[in-house]
Amino acid sequence: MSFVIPFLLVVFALIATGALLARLSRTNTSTDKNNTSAMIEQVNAVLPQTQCAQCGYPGCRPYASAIIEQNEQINRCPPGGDKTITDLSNLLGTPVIPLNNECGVVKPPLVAIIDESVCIGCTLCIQACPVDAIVGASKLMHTVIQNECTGCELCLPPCPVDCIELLTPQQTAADWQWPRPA
Amino acid sequence: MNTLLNTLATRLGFHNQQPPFSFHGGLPLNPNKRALGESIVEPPLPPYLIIPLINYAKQSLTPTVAVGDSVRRGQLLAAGVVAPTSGKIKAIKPHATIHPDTLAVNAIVLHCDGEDKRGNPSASDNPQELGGASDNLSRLIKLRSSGKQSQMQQLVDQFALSGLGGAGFPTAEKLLGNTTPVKTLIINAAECEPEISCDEALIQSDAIDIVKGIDAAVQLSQCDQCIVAIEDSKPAAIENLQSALKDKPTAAQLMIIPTRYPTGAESPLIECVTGKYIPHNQKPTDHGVVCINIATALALWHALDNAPLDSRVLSLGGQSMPNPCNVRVRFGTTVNFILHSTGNNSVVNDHRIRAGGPLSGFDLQNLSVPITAHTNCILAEPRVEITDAQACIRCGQCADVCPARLLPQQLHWHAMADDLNGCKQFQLDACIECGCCDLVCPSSIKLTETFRYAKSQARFRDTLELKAVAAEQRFTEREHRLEQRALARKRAIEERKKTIQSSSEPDREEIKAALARARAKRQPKQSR
Ligand code: SF4
Ligand code: SF4
Ligand code: SF4
Repeated sequence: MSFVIPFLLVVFALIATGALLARLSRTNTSTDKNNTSAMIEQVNAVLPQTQCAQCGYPGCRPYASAIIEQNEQINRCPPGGDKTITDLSNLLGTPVIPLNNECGVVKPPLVAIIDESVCIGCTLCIQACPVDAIVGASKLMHTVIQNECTGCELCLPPCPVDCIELLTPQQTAADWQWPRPA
Repeated sequence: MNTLLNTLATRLGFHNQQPPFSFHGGLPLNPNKRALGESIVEPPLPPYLIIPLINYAKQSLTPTVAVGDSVRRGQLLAAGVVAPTSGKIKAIKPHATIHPDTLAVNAIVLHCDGEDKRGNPSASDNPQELGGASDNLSRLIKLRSSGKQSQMQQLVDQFALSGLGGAGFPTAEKLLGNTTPVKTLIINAAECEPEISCDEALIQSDAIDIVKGIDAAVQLSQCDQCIVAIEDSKPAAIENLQSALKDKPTAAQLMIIPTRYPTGAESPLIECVTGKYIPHNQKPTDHGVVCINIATALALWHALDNAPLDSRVLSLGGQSMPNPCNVRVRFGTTVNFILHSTGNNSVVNDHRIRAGGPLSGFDLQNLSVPITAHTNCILAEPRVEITDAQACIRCGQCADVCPARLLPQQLHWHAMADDLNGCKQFQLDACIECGCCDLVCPSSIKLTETFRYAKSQARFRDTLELKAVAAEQRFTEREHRLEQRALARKRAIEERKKTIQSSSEPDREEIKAALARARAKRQPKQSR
């Protein structure tokens, strides 16, 4: 009998620890999930939101998920350029690597403009625009809302009459910046 | 007897409130008001005026007139912009403006016909016929108290009233648009920057109308108290204001504040008058304080009297200006024309011409640029060699004089490293670009220039960030919409399949029979 009590105690202790561990590991997986989505959010916030798909994913958020969930490289975003790579490397604690040229090259910011006299109103560009920046209706003239356009160039290939052009946006008083002092 | 009592009361300081407070930092500068003369010079109307279509927030405006239209003085050209004289619209095209980079902005070119006719040629378009000044004032007050916002706005729009101080914020909005009740209305007559004396000149010539304007502002804002703050270095203007205030019973009181740059800037002035330092991320209106410029008060009175704001007084000064003076010019007059018509044309070729004061302004590269509501000064200075900056010796003098209580030396370090987060941490936003730090720095470091640069960088980054957030939202919404559409299509197909499967046997029999009939019909054709 004197053997049984310590034995039982040990058993109880084991069961208790087991339950605790199980519980801990459960909470661990759920915080992991929370962590993952929080990390995706943070990575997404660093990406420029051009939604151009040059990274090989259908948009900025999908690329952010791939970086976190599939260990995708951080150098696939041409619109973000070096700044995005540096920011991502700071965020994730990975080394800075040069931009992957297969994805594209760094360009100055651009906006699309439709030559309204040539547009035939086919609506193909509307369907291609990832941020709904084009307005128009079937067989009617289309136009780009300049303020909403991210310059992703996705509307260029579908246009059957090549009436969309990408231009450097005009310098406005609100965007003007003081020069850097020498 | 009454006058005797009044003088006595004034002497004893009953009428003039003493400033109970001071503000942090600042510098006693030589006022150097060489433009202040006997009277205000009135040059002739120029042959043409250039009106930039842009508002105080640097948003472009859509013109309400077209090329070829004839306009009269006071007619609306765009929201908050009126024609400064009568004439014909010759063009609407980008034109260089007063800007450090001579930025071109879409502008109306108005050829003046010299007749300066007022009023709207098509008066029937204008349902709100304007009455006299006091009629308009009581009408506005009535509209305000009965909550008729849109009618009030319509009336106010015709005033074209923007602040004549620095920023050009729409004044009517300040007076009529606040949600928290106004405790203190401050009329800013401090005009603290050296060389600038346009407000002082106005007080000396127009004090009676100014006081009428102040009274109107008091009634419109429904403030508890109104304080007219003026620096002690302007004895003549103080006397004019005192006697004008005595003649018109109004709730406004004169407060004589010490002459110390930059008391005329909004936050030091509020601190000086109320003792409250309002942090940069809060608005004065949140604290029940509204601040308007004294020239704006006069413009308010004129606007109520059916003369919308279309001109201003500005100071011509600087070491090299041969004929310094205060001039009254219409908006849209070019700097070149002003200098020529005041006998100052000798400076245009070999001097530095500056728009704005010696501290707040910047050099102009092109003189064919039109003046606007916030051009308060034009200076001619000799060309000087810029002294090279030395390393910071951490003397801390810049922090001592900073009215925004910043640490300019730290800010400079972060700004030059393009570390915008560091700048934010040291409250770059609070910098009012007064230039005090530059003046005291023994190492001649261009602190203010650096802060202007970093501030514009931060502003640009913020707009990019806002744009990115909007793009991401539009992208997500589109994804969601496409998903819903695909889902709906799938559901419809499944629905359809189900109806076919669940359709009753007799129907199927009928279909079979119909098929058999069709085949039977086709058979003979094939066998032939
Ligand atoms: S308009 Fe064209 S370039 Fe602009 S965001 Fe849409 S698809 Fe991209
Ligand atoms: S320019 Fe800015 S940092 Fe320098 S003293 Fe003025 S408010 Fe302070
Ligand atoms: S005044 Fe000039 S030298 Fe002195 S601490 Fe400030 S920046 Fe440095």
